[in-house]
Amino acid sequence: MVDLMSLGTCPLDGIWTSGHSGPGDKTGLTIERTTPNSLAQLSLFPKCEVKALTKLKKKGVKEFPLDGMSLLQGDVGILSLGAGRYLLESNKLDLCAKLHKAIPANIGSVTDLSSARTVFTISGSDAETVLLKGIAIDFAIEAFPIGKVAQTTAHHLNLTVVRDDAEQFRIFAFSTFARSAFEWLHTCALPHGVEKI
Amino acid sequence: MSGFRLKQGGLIDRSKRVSFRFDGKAKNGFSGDTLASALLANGETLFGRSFKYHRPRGVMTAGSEEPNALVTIDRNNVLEPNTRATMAEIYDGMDARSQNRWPNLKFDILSANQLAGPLFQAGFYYKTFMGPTQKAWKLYEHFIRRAAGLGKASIKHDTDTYEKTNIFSDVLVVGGGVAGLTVALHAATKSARVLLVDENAMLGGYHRGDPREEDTIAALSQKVADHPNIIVLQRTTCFGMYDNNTYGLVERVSAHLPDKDEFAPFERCYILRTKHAIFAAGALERPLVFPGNDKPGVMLMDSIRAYALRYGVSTGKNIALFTSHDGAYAQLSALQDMGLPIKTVVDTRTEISDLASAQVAATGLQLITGHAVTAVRGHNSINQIAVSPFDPFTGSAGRESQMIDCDCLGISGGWTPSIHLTSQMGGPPKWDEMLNTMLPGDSNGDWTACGSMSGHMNRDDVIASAEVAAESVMRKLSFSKSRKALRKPERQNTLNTAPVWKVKTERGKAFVDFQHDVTEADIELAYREGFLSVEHLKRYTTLGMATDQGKLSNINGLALMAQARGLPIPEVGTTRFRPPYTPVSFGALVGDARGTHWRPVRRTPMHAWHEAAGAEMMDAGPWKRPRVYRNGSETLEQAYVREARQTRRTVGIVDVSTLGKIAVQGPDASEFLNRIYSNAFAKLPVGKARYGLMLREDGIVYDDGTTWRLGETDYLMTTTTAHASGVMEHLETYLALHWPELKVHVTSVTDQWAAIAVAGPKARELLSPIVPDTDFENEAFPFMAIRHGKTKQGIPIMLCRLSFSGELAYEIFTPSRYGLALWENLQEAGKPLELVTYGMEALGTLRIEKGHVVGAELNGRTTAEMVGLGGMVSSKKSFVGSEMIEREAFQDLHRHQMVGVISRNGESIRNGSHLVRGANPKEPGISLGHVTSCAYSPALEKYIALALLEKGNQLMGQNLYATFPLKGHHVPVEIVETCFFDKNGERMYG
Repeated sequence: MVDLMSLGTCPLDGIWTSGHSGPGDKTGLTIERTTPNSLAQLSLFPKCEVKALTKLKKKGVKEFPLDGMSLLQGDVGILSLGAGRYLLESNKLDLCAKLHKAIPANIGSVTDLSSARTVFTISGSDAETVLLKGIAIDFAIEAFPIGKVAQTTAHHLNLTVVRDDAEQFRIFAFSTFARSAFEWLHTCALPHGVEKI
Repeated sequence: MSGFRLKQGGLIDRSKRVSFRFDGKAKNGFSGDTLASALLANGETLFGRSFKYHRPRGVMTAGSEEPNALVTIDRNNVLEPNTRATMAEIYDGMDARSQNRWPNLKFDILSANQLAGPLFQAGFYYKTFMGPTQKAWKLYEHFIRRAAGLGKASIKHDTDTYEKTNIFSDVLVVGGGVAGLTVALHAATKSARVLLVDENAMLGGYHRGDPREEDTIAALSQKVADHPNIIVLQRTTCFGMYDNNTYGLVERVSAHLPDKDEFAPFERCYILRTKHAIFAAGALERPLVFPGNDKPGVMLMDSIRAYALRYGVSTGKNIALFTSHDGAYAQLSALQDMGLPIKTVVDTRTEISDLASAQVAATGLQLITGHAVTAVRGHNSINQIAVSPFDPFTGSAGRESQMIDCDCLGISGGWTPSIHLTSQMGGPPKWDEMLNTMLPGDSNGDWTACGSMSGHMNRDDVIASAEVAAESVMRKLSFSKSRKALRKPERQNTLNTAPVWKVKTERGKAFVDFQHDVTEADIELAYREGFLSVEHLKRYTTLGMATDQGKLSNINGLALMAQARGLPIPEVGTTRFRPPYTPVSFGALVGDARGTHWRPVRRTPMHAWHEAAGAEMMDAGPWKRPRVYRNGSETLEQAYVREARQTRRTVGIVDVSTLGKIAVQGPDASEFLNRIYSNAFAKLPVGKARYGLMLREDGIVYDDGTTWRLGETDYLMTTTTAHASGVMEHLETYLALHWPELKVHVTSVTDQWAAIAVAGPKARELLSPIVPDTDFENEAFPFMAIRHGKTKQGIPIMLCRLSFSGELAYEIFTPSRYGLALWENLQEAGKPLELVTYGMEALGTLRIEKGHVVGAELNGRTTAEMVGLGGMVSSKKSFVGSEMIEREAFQDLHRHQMVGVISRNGESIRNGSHLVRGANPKEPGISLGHVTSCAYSPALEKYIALALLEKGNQLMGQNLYATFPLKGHHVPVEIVETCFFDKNGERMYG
């Protein structure tokens, strides 16, 4: 049997070329494809957070982030997408299976979205300016602090945006729209000088 | 007028000479010049022709309110019409052209329109082309359209790029004059995030270039520019004020640059969201209305000052001024010191202030009080003005008492605050007796006006009002904790403006709206003909409806109507200014949403394979789907017929990843689905799928698809491609609003799964070796059963035995990242089996042969009964739409029913054809129904179709005609059952 990971493809295969684009003398930002191996949506029924945490304690998840925020629990990143709804990410392949096992149906539902999103990491001094070209969110650090998560739209696309650092954001795009999302992002980034990793 | 460059003064860089062209002639200017200032310096007087009468026009202003000097800029063969010469900064190689003239600017044949002046008065179109003479429009339209209008838009591809972006601030400051700079600095010092926008290339507003103020302005501007809390956007116009403190801004990024940065946009449009806006947009000078006030050489008095101070240009060699207020005298000595040859001032008032008298005395110029200008002599430029005694009470001028030589006449009837933005969203403007003008109306609490915009015309008052405005806003936004009482800024009357709305004379055209050629006679005519409301006045005369939005004409127009009606001006009311404040290009509004970025495209995981295989792609909503894979020179029909035929003969695969997929999870998922679908779902076993029909609340069919029970509490619903997002919203709405007690979660997983349909008699033969651990025999893997497994390569898959084609068929789902690998695996394994890849056309053909419905039949008007799915509507349970299907109209026997149609003469049937009884195409009779889907059936070797037909079930076997009169098609057809092929399903179940 061949290595399963080697069979996987990314929606950007064939159009993504690493390197610099835009004005040669500046690099305002970098864009990186960084889709984790596992993405799972955990949807909890009302008032089930505590029960869920009890079940997930052994998996290293001790708390959920506040609404609209994110946090790292061991090797699992958790993004709050709304009341009782979280997106969990991990580089381990068995995240979904473990969650399925841990969360009984009367507490919540686990949905595998590992192939459903393509993630772009955007970093650099101009990252904020570039994102503003499509996203109507005030990205000033006071208004959108580190760890903040927003579900929004840009270029008619639904996106999840998370701020990882003062100058670093990640965008979760629907995989079937990922190429359009990248092409739009690249056009916006071009005047600033962009390095694709 | 014969302007010239002064030896000194101005903010231009005299060390940088700039070459440009105007109407094909080479001209020179300096860096920092506008097109208007450079042309004036070159002695040009004539800038364009007027809209209606083609009268010669010069430049009237030095700013964005310019109504006359509109030119076309040619940017590499892309034409930018109606560019205000007063705002366009020159650059090396600029190519500008005058417009609305033929054959040239000096000699314009259409200036003959002036002779037909009475014909073209207000209401010309209404009177000429309505009623009995309406048909004349068709005769004259071509000529009128050629003669009227301003510039012509380019039809060539615009090679420039445009950008659209969002921006946020605590405070927006509109206007970079003294007031705006003061406000911005105050707010920024209190830690507010400030965005300052100014439409000009330099900050400083009214005082820009004034040697007495230059140091102060420069220092203030520098402080603002250096402050970390302030973003300054120059060459940026705030063009619109919208709900929830949203503003539209447009920045001219590259329009002034000779060599545009390859990556910089031409213009950038900002959508600003702010907490509060402070308007310090200043005031606009008001023209006086008298005969000949539009002649080239007549211009606003302040623009004469502006051209001298900012660009070092004298607008004439012999300048006269005509005014009705003291503000006109304030800078006389400074201008004379610069070398401006101002010789005469005509004032309608009999007395002027002591300060003004002192200015006159100091300069030694001729002052004529109690008089008005009543005529302007000259054609394409002026050489004399006639002056007559003026009666301020009646507004009438007497006989011409003297002629004064001059080549430039500066006029000023007072100042009008630039209230446009506040008018867009604020309350109605308020009349101010002191200035004889309108001030901003009541604020909604989220904007404040200050400076001359709020009627503070004295410099000290301007600064005081700005400081008070800034501090009060800072307190409102909690940036300032101070409780010290704020002093109400004073308003000193330093102008002493006399209300002169027109100089009444017996002859000559006196213009109110220069851009639309509306005269004071037009306003009187509107009054006489009963158009008394200002809204009617505006539409009847087109006053204020040009691209300058009546910036110079509004107050004069209102005042003249008030005079005619014998009412005070406030009682006449005002019209509302609308966005945009100045014209905004379509490019800026569109931004990058064009070409590739016109709309996002949705692609399946196998998209690259389809393209490489030469698939002809088609749009299905945002999706790109393969239509056919042509072999060589095949026609579309040959291609899909081959694909469909081979699928029924061997095996075919099709990419169905676009199907909507929704995870329905939770302990109450079964109950939820049972309420959503019209057929039973409560007892669907784990590991089985079922076809489901979904109705809308009104009982009309909404969507259909299969739903798979993957586990006790875990379902996977599939929907049609078109309704995927709609169904998702439908489910969420019911869970959130109607049945919150149900413990169910729904999640779109369309992107998670790649889906491939494998169909044909060799489907089992294809799949067995690829998925070795799954038994594909009929008993082990029956119809509608689901299996989980892995391919030989280890790719995780879910299989369901179901069929849209009527063949032995399976749908295979795999996580989308493995979709391409699985697809290629199937392609390779299928070679010995003569596998065919088929597209949407063949998919459609196969389903029409089986009589399956899609969106064409589920068109939002059909019931389950109509499309032959009445059996799927349960009578034993309640579900969405169940209460409405018993309605009388739903039982109406005249409702259409879905039928099959076969061409009787071998001709194709067009989609949308009407089914009629008449054999004669010219007398087809009434429509009994229409064709919804059609194809050539390789199974029947005939053209077939599905149709919705009145009493269709009673017309089986009857002969009708499928008629399509627009294309001259009239095809004899037979009405048959909807399933054309393998009616017992032996192939599907076999």
